[in-house]
Amino acid sequence: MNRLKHMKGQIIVYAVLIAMLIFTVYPIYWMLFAGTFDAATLVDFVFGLIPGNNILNNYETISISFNMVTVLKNTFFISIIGTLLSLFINLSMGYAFAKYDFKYKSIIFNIFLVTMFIGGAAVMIPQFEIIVNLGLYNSLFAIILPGVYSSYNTLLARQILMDFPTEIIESGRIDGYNEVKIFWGLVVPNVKPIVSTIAIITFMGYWNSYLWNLVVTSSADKYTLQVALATMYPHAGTWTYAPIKMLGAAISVLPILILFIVMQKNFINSLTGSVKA
Amino acid sequence: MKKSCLKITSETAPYYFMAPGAILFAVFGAYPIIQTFIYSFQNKMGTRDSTFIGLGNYIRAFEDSIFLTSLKNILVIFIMHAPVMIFLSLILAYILNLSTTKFRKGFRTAFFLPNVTNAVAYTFMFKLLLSNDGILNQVLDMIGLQQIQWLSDPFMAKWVVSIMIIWRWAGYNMVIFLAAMQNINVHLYEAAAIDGASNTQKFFKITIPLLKNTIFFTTIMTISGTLNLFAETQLLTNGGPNYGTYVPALLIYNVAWKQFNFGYASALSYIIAIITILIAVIQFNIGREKD
Amino acid sequence: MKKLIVCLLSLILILSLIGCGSGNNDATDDNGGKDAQGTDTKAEKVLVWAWDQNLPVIDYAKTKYKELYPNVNAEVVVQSVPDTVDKLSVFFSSGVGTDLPDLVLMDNNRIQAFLQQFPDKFVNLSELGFDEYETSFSKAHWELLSYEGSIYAFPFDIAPLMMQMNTEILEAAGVDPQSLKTWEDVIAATQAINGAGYAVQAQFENREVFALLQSAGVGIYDKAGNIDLLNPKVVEAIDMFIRLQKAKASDKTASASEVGEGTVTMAIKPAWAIGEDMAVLKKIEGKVKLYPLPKIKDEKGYTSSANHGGSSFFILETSKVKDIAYEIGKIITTDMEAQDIALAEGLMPGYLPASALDSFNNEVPYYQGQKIWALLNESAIDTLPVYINEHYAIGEDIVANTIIHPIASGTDKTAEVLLKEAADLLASQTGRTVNEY
Repeated sequence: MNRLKHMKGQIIVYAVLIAMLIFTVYPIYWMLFAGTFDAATLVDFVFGLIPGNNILNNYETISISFNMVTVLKNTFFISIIGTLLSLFINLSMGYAFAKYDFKYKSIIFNIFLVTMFIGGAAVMIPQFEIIVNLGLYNSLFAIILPGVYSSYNTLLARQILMDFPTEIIESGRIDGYNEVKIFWGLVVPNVKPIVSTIAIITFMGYWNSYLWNLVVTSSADKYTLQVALATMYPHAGTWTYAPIKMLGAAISVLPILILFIVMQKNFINSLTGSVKA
Repeated sequence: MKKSCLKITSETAPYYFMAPGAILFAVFGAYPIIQTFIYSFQNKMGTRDSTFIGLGNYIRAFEDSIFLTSLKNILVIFIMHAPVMIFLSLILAYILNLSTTKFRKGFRTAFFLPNVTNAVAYTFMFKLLLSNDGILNQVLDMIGLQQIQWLSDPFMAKWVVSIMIIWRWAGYNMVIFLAAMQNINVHLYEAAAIDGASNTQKFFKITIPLLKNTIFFTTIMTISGTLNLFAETQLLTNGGPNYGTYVPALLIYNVAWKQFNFGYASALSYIIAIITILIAVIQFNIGREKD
Repeated sequence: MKKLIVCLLSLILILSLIGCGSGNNDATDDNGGKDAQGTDTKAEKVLVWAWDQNLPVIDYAKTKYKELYPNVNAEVVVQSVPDTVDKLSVFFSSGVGTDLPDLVLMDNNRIQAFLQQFPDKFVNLSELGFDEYETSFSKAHWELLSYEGSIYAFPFDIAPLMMQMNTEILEAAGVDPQSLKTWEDVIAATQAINGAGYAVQAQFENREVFALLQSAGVGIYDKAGNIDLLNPKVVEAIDMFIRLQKAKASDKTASASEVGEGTVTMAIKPAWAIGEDMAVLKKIEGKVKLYPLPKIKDEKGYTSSANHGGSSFFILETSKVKDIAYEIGKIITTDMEAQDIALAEGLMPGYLPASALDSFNNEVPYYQGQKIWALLNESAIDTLPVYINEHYAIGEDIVANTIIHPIASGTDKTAEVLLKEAADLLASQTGRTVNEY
């Protein structure tokens, strides 16, 4: 009796899991396969294990609009440099908030907190003015700079660093290390989870950034993936250019997908780390 | 700058740590926010000279039926997806937390996958899957069900947006719940098992009450995410049909970049920001009470 | 040593800021240097922004300019910029102007919004003498690009609409395509077409509904910029849309991509889409023909012409090479060979003398040997003007959301009621007056 009940429970459990599996994985599967077909075949493609043979043609059509290698290079560049700068800036600030007292600390802290929520299309105009005045228009650094400072990441770093044992810092001081060396030499190596958290959040943010990139760059040699993707045949009918769009989508998703599967543990930890904070 | 390169003590150190970020914050954070605040009290149109009009833009916002519709839309979209998504995430987390479930890691990976896709790519994809002659309708047709005009009905279109949000974020929330569940003392479950409690009972009587804070946190994050919804509705239906998926961020975008009414767009941005801040403050205070 | 590290660390950001700034400048200087290689004088750089379909024409203009002015050392740089509207609006509204292009292509429907918001940002082409070409373009086209009596953009392609009919389906349904002169006729033929197992047209969207309005010479605004949605002719057009919808001549269950599958009989097509689609939609090759748009009524004041899209080139006021940009713009829009190249890309020249080109008489097998370009060109002649202003985008948005979508989903409201609602909403959004009738 109990056994039967247990079996029934197990069946329900796996039914739920498999239904969810289809729901989450099927669209991604379809996206990855869609780019290999021609339009006429794709319309009727629901499921199959054999990809189509039109991937090279589709890729060629993409190449008419932009150079995929350049676009990938740009996207990696902004994501990596942006992440490194962001780590440097936000970890330092989080550390200052967590472990030091200084003038106006609580006022500055509250300003950071509140400004976290104001953004969007309307602040783009003043930001744009600054970029142009710095002579950065149509450069990859124009994309990177406004995203480097992040209230969210600073507060995240602060939260984690607050729990860092002050004794270790004190012992560093006794050993005659200076403050900067203490931070980068003693503190940061011991809080790797928060480093990878901020790195992953920032990397994904840069990789997926779109609207701002569109505004501050003008030439195709400065395109990043999302911009390139969105500019492909914007006016064309639904199915006509579907395989080409889907191939572009697959190319924009694959690197992060692979990164995720390889570094899965860090991704998941980064998420739970940020929640605890 | 040279002068401040003097000796670093524990007294001067915080300024060194703060300086680079503070400069960036002043330039790209504070200044644009203040400038936008000033614009929100002006009738600034394009580059034309603007004049101060007091609260005019704010008053207009609350008389603007499109803005009010957009607020109503995100409320409906929130009600459509948040309870389903959070409950689904909880159940999945619970199942994947059971030691009797096989392939737990594999399922966790698969459920989290949608979260690493980007808005442009996954909106394109859903648009194709759910178009009138899309894959889903073909499947419905095959199994003998009525096809659904997903994107040409304001109510169905809201469902599509909701399904997209659930697709992208259910796995994400599940991981958060999983982490929280791992903090629950196993003895509680063992004691309940001795009392003869089923898994379902344990879920409702132990897990959910103990996860109250995390559920609350997730709900707040979902609200804030819904308030700032943009790319999905812009690329999917451009706010249509019949303003059914028009959301505040899309309105702000259109007012600023299609009508060049920067004053009004700035005011709308501030209204949304204030709502978000209010919700965050509530979260902060309730969170503190709980602690 | 410690001190050094500290100084370095705190300066990294500032260095990176300044560093990238100068890095960028260096890069542009490098380009300048390269351009000048091999010549004594530094080349004048002309920057053009356009989107893909137009690049071949600009390439041609580049070469042609060199032929005409061998003594001017000009270097034309073309950048493929799909969203010129977003980019320019940020530039103009922030009031800064470095790295701006000299010549920019823009969608015709957005041009008046720019002229009215940023009148001092564009070069007045009348002052540079472009008025000599006034008679070489249709009046509607010229007015679309004019502001306070002067022309501000080089009129490039137009997008006349025609009705593409699948003659194979019509034959099966026993309908003579020639008989479909008015929308009444289309409604009358619907039953026969449906009966044969085909849809008449896909669900009407913006393109189709605005075509109905324009064919009757009405639109969202009148010439004075007032909201004109209560105009009896607008009511009549929207009422026709409702009737088409009820009769399933605008078919909710059919989608535009089924036209290419050969299961939807008719589709309203702009010239540029015809160019693009012939290469892709192979299933209906040789089964379709183009016909004039059905009229609302077979009376005076109702045409079978409408336009959807088209684009024009601006010269920006900030340009330092206005004279070169002007010559290039002139070549692109008035040189016969340039028009021929545009036509090959499916872009219909707005330049009227271009109709003398041989290419217009090419018989296109896809359309059963019809001389489609000549037909499209002919259909453009009657096109009535559309009045566009800075609030056109929001007007389109409101019409789509409060008129087109409700009708598509089968509202019970009448055309008058829907239009009244739309007009009121538009008035409250724009502060413009509504014309009462």
